[in-house]
Amino acid sequence: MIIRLAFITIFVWAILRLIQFGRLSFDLASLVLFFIVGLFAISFSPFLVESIANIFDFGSPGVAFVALIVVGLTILCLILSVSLSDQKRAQANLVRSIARIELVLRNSMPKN
Amino acid sequence: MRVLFFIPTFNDQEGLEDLVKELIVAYPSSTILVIDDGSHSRICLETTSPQIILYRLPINLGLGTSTSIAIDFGLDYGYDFFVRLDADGQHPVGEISGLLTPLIEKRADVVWGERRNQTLRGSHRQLMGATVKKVTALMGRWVFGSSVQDWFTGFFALNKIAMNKAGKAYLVRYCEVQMLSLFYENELIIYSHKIDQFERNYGTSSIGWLNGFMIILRALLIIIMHGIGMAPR
Repeated sequence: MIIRLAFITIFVWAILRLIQFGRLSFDLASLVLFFIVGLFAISFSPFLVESIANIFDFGSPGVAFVALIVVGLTILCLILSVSLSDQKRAQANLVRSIARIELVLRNSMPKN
Repeated sequence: MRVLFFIPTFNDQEGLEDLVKELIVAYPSSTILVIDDGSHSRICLETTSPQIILYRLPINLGLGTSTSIAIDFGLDYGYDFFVRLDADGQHPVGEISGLLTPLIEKRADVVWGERRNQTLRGSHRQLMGATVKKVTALMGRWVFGSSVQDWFTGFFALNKIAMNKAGKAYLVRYCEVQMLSLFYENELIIYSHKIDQFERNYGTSSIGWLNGFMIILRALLIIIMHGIGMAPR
């Protein structure tokens, strides 16, 4: 229980810091937080945990391999989300700057 | 008193012409900035007037970027007030005076045009829209003590102080909740002005079940981040 709580706290804190520093957009962050908090909530239900474990065949020795894949994919998703957020922000800022210049130029031209 | 009207548009050609004409008649000394947010077919205006500025973005970037561009324009050219209204003709031009009066009298920094004729009945889009508004209003009340019931309105007016605050932020695609949270966080004086929104004559609401769910998640996160002082700068 304490490990689970510590994990979720660190994860949520990391996501919030990424948003604060403008590295993760609200769209992607809200989805990531929803899934992680959802998984945390599910972990308190023995029935749901057992059902999911059966689907993924977690009773077999392959469980460690599956867990590693899940962790790897989660980290990869987060990195891609940060990268996508950076690109979107840069694109929006570039368009904003160009628009500002264009509107100034258009307004400074003599009108016929 | 210099007023900048900002009309963002994405494929809203039908109602735009009438709206612009109505604004020119009602506010002959104002400027109307129409930003076409990368519509599929280029937005055109037959009405010609030095009051109108039509600017087209090369791609659809969402309301946040359009609003930032409009606010930059307002600040660069020293407008006193900034009024945003939607291009689909749902916002009554007659109610603009109700938005501007508290700003002119220096009683408020922001006047939020809340739609009071919202219903919980009707199509699933209306039901989802009403749910999104209710949940966001509850969170806003809890975090900021806000009495605003409609955080998603596209009908509001800002003075220079509010324009400055919003102009410094990186606004997200659907930026209304973010802007109002920003104003609350900065302790600006926010007035609410109740309006009866016209029926939608053109197009349909973009809120579906999945989209609505995403909007709720995002709105809650935005309000919480501003509430705990961790909003991006």
